[in-house]
Amino acid sequence: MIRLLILTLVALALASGPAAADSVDSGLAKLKAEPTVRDVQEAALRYFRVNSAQIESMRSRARIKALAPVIEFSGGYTRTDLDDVSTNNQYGFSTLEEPWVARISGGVGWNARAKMSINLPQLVFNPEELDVASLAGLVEGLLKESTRLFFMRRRLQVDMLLTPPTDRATLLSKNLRIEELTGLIDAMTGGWFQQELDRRARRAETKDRRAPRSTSPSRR
Amino acid sequence: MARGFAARTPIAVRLLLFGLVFVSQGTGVRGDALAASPEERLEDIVDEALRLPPPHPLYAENVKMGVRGVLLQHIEPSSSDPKRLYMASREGYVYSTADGGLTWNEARLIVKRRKFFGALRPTPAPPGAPFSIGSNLADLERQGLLTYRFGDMLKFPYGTSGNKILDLDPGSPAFWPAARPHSLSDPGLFALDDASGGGGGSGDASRLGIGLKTSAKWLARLLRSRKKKPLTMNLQLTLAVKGVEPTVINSIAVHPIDARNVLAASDMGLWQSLDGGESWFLLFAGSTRKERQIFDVEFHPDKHDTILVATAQGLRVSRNGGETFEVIKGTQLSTARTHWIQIAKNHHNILHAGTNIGVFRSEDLGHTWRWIYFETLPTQNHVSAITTDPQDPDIISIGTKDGIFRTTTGGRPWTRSGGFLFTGNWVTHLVTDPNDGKRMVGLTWRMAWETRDGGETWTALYINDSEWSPRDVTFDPIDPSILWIVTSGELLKITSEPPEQPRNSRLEELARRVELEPTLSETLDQVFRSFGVHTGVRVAKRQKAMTRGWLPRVDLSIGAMGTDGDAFLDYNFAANGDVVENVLGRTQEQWGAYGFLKLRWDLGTAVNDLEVAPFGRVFDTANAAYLKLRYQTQMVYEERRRILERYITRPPSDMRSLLFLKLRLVELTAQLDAFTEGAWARHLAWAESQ
Repeated sequence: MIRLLILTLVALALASGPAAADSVDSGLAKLKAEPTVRDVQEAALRYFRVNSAQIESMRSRARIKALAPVIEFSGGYTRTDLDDVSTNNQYGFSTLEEPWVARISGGVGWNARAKMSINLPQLVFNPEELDVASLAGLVEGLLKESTRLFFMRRRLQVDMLLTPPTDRATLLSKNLRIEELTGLIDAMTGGWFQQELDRRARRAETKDRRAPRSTSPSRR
Repeated sequence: MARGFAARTPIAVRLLLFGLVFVSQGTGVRGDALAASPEERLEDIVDEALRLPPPHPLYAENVKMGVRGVLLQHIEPSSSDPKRLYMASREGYVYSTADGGLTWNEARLIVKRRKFFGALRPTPAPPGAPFSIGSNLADLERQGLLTYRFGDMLKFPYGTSGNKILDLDPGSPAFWPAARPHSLSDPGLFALDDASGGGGGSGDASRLGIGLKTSAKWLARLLRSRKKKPLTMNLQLTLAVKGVEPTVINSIAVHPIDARNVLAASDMGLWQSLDGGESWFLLFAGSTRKERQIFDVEFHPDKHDTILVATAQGLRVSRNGGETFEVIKGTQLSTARTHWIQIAKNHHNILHAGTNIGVFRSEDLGHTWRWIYFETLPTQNHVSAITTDPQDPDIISIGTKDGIFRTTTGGRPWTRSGGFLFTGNWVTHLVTDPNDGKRMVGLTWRMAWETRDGGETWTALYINDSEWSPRDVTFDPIDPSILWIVTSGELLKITSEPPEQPRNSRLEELARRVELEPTLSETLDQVFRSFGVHTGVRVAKRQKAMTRGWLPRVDLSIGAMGTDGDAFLDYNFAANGDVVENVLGRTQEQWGAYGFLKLRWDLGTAVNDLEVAPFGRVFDTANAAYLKLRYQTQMVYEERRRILERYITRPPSDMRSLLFLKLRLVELTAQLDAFTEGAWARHLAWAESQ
């Protein structure tokens, strides 16, 4: 009985050796199918609207800003009415209904103005161009954090493949940690990371489904 | 021989050995040499040094890999697992390795604190009831929150934007510190007055209800019920900000037989991890601000449920694995600010506690204590380190703010060790070789000192030539021939055994690889350019500022105006008794157009423009980013070179280590590539293809 048990164990060990290696290889291959670190970095920068194209756009807009003039329109309209009445008691023109002299004048006046100002010195140097550098801290933080999170997650994934946990607590703890890191990357990329993982997983699944059909001899 | 040594030793090791300078105490120039020229004096010094016996050969290797740019604070090797080490940082990060330092896992303490702890009215009560916001505002300023930055527009504090994705998560170990320049101006600073963790004079008000915005409402209700005036919005803001504050970690203790059971002594209480540092929970919060601030923690090596905690309000002991902590009674140790706990090697019932009022000793596992060292000078009373001889626990050495003192009787008399060498110098750490009681290592500002004769003479073991300062030292509990020194930025493994030498056959390959890669200066230059903080580029742009004076500001105005009016004159007059009426009328219409061109030269700008100066708008921000980027890039570049050297010349034999080493190489290369906007793309592809 003991011999049988030993033989069974040996057989299992022999059988599981290559199988385990295959599983590691396939696991590593799956990891390769995930977004790369550059994808993640770019997604994080894009989400925070500070990728290199956007920053360069800010700089160049600051540079050519002076070409756009300051335009100002102004205008006015006035209306005036003047009733100037004089009376003369001596000759009986003492009431306003019968004035001695009445001067009545009135009219409208208007003006319209357009003003254009061009700040030519700003074409040579605009300090706002340098202000864009204040985004450096943000960009640096995003790049560093996205890279760090990506590889921290990747190390855990590889670790899970190479040395799979043998107890539930460790399995749960490590899986939760991977989920946490996935969530953090997802948050940094505005939800792009998880969507991309799902998309790639779906694509791989579809590919897997199609592959046996196309290569199956029975279908030829 | 020297040439042979140089040829056999890798560059990195040689550079590190360069830092290991051995000088003898008392080495100096002769009095008559003072009159000589500098060159002659130098020759005299060299001659004198050459007459001294050769030093003990020691080798240092920086094994810090994969640890972000933090100020390291503590190193704790496990006594049961030779591959497991823990490191703590001032920013609340705990790093653990299970493979001897090849790869490190990162976890962060905190960060969601309890809704409420501490006294409602702190002691001493701050001016203004019930809170003084002065210290909170100062905190905010220190964190850069009250200064406006362009980049800040893209950062949202927790719970303020209504969008979960946009909000920074206070529970995240990742984001918060990186988005903000480091609060410390100099990573090498030793005496960091980090009061944010509760050590500040009147900072406790800000500790109240620390946590989430909802806590503010709860706290406000509580205050109203006590007829206090709540600060509503300010309070909410303060609490939201405080909720994401990191915690300084002062020390770590590893369980004697379970290397995954770890304690972390922080400025915000005692924390425990049971999974090797992956996740942490608060074990002891303390009932007061002082009791919360913990400087040292130890597991008892035999009675594993006994935990000793050194707080700012005295020693606390738990005898049930941390469920409850007792106050030491009948001694000043119950309230004295305690910095260091020492359990005598090989005599585990004997404990020592170093405080700011001297040293206490217990010979019955902490039940009763005696005051064995007390001086009148505060600097000598401030005991920051204690160590005992492994064979004779009555031979005690202590490190104070005024040097080292030593006794051989377990009490008085105490004699100064090292003579004037340490007088007036703060000896922060002191440890004894478990195999040799005569050998001790102590740390002072920027230096590590070693004695091999029980403290009679001391030699400099490590002189720091960088901005890092030594923070902790310990002998490896499993292999005492290894001495670990952690500086604020390095983890040095110092042994008398030369480290593994690179394979000569692979050195050429390494040289070829290095030849292909951008140098550090090229990388830095590219990094500064891509982040827009290149000083040269910025200065060149600013130089154009003065030429602005030759160009005018142009104002062009055009306009039109018109009027349309009429006037009538009625008059009555008497002529020969008859009234005559008459009317005069007049109308007028008029319009015109005009144009103005104004050219305005500010010629004074052509003579001098303030913008030419390197300071000016956003200078502080750009300069901080410049310094931070330089530091980050240097660190990443240096670590990558070390890993590359190891990967090519001494690749690990097992697949796991090799894979992890490669992952780290790819990670660092990816970071350099991202920082330089693609200058490392080719090398990243190479690393990925390996």
